Amino acid sequence: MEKFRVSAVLLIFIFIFSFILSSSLTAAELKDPWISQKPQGKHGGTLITTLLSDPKTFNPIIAAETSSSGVVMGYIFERLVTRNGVTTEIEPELAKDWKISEDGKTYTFYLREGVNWSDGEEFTADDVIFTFDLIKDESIPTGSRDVMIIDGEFPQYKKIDKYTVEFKLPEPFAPFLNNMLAPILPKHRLYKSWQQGKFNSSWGINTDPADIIGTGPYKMVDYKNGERIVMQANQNYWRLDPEGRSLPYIKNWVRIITGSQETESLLFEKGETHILGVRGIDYKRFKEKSEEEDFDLIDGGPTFSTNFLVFNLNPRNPKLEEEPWKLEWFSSIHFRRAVAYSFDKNTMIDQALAGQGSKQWSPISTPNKIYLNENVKKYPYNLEKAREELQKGGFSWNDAGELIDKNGHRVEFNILTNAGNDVREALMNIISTELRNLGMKINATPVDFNRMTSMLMSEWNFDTILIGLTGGVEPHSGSNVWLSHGHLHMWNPRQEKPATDWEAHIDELFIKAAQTHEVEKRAEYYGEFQEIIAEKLPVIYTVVPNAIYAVRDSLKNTEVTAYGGVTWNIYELYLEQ
Amino acid sequence: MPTEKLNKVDKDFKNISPRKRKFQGFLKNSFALSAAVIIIILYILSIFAPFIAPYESTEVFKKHFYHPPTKIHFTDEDGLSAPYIYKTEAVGWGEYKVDQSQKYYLNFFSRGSEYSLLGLFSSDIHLFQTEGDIPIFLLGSDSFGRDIFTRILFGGRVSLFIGFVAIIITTIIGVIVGSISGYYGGWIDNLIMRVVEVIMSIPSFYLLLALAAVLPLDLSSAFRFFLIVSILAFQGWAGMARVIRGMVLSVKQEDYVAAAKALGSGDRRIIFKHILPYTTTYIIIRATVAIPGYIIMESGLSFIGLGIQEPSASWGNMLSAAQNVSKISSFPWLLLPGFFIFITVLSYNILGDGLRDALDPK
Repeated sequence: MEKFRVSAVLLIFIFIFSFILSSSLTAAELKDPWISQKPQGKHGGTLITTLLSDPKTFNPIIAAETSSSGVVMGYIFERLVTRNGVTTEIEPELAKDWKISEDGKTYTFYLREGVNWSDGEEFTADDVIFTFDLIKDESIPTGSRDVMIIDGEFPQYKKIDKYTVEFKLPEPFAPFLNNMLAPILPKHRLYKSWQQGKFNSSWGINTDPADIIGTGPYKMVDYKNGERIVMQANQNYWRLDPEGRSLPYIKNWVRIITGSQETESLLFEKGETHILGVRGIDYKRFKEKSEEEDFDLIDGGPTFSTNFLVFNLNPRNPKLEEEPWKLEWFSSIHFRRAVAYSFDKNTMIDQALAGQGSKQWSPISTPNKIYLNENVKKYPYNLEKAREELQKGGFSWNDAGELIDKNGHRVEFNILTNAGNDVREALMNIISTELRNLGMKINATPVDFNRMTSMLMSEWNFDTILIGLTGGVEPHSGSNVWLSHGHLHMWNPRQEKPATDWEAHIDELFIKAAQTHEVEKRAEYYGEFQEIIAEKLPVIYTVVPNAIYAVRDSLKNTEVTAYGGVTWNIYELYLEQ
Repeated sequence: MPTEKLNKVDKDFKNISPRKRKFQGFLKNSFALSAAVIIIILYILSIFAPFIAPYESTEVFKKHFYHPPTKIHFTDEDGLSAPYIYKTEAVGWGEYKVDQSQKYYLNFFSRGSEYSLLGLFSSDIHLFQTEGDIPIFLLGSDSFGRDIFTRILFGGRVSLFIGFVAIIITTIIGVIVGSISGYYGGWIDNLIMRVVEVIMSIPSFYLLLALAAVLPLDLSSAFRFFLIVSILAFQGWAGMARVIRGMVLSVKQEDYVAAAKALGSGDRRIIFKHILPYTTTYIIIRATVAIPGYIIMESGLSFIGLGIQEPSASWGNMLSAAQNVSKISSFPWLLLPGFFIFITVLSYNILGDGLRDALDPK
């Protein structure tokens, strides 16, 4: 009886809703569609995937963590341009085309005509201008603003006509296109709350899902904290299937919030979800299962993540008053090389990543084919060479086999990493075992993540830290790490002027590379930068896990990569019933 | 049971001292007795860990991670033989092939790495080792290629003894404070009990989190854990003090205490000679029940990163390294530390029960 009543109410709702829809439909005609090159699929069905944790906000401009932005970016909100999930090259999204002036200072974007927001309003240049007004607004906390600022100035932007926007830069800046990856928001929905100064609290997780409007292939239908997010196909979407019907194929998308990777694996094993990111340790088990069951394991190659050991080369380290010799050791290039030679990366892959990983030698992420320099100096595992380097650096061993420096101090230091990260704790264990073989005394301690970051960013009182960063395709995004005045220049942050020649040289290379548009030329500059880091070793890279996905056979048209995962082209995927 | 026999037992009991009778009562409880034997064996194993274990607790065999327990052969073509093992080689990730071309015999009481026992004397004799450099994993190896048998023995040193430290601290403070409070009463009692209430209301979990943040990083993890446990024990005496106070309150009304007072005994003598012996039963039972609590707490703390850290071994952190469905299904020997925790906790509880039945048959 109860059930009947609920469905009756639902029916009435659907009836009213469709009535409102049909009466208010003022949708503009789509003039610049994008047509899928993939085989024609079947419309309908429900895709079920998992999310590790709850989003903190649905507002994509404020979202600071991937648990929030990963829920909406590309699925509900779109950008002017995007990066292809396979080639990682920049492609048109809401802008159908763009033009860069000869002096490299003016960018003109031509918008797709006839794109509609999921509530039926048309998407125009006003929305783009509105979005950049938001990003420029100092009172809005967003990570998109800092990267836009060139030479201390926010670029000037203006609307040329309904479908054209122009950006004027103070000087040529090649990474600018990468900055166009900011999500475009609907002016007709958010202008009022921005004017009232309430933008920062708009579209939080308590917002009625129906109010969250984007241009993306999906729209929000339901969100239950700690349980699930339900999304439904956006009927107004501008990408079309080969037969001319509006994409996406998959009608409903349910994302279960699991809270742990173990639960995700179990849900997939029970056949309740379609996609799973497989951890190295589970690889063997899933490989055996995939031969009998209805899914495939796909190796997307190394991920963009990095794990490295960073030395504290900061003369402002407050602990140096007691132990000034530590800076002497860490500043010795021979000492750092000896540590690099002691990294047994084969064992790291076997034991920390369960055999599913790749070695990393360069600060550019391994799968970044455009900019990766594979010819940087490598330090294959060799304890003999490590000992030679230590001798060159003036270190020696006492009768007990303990390593001492030239003033007789026993070499002893801490390695920290964030507690709870199994991979990093294992890496730390392997590294310290080898360093102990060299006669060093190592105190390896996992600490709370917040404590570690405050030591790294503001207290500067660590010895070495094992940490990781997730790289992107555009190397300039790492400028806060690699430039000597950068906040995240971990071994010696916020320098007033470069402490060493090679750091000064890296600063120069980054500036040159930002001013050049030719990709080959830029790759050359970034190539030299990678050589310097590999030569000078302020950070020593370890290994990166491979992105392995388990995908059900019923999910078609997939093109799985480490960069885009499985759902980067969600609009083209379909389910075979 | 026929009455005749009962009477006989009763008669026997009359001829021996009460203490001896209690002890005999305990010996008759074969269940509790075997628990005590198991506990003693575990303690002996972990005290003599460096001698019994073939390796040091942090020794890694890089190429032999997730190695299954090594099979020891006692027979060859000619029947019975000295125990020997075969060499294994890695074929693929976490898979090993046995190479039967050569036998490697076990050497008993052979020389190996040097160690010092109880800080008293040093030696390099190990109970057993293998010929050549062939690793032997009695209970398999872990994710870094360390011998689990060795690490269980060394881990037991932490897991089994950490409870003692805590119990000793809580007992000493709890008994002294509780008896003073109960015996003197009045404003002293009032003051002490209010302090106890304050201490009992400190949330220990957050205390732990705060401690983890302020302790210096270059302490060895065993020492850090020792600190954490002792600080927790300094908080834990409050509950004990309350119970002791209650017992003292009831005992001090007894005639024999009044008699002792009348004979002119001092307060200290009355407390220690006449009142506290009454509480020993409670203290012993409480201790046997609390020790497994600390063993479990250690495994819990290792789980949230506050306990013993790698590479030191404890049963808790060894078990927490096994928390993954794939690991448990492919390498079930990783769960063995859990078995040891289980056995120890169970034995302690049975022992505690047995002791209570014997000492306090009310």
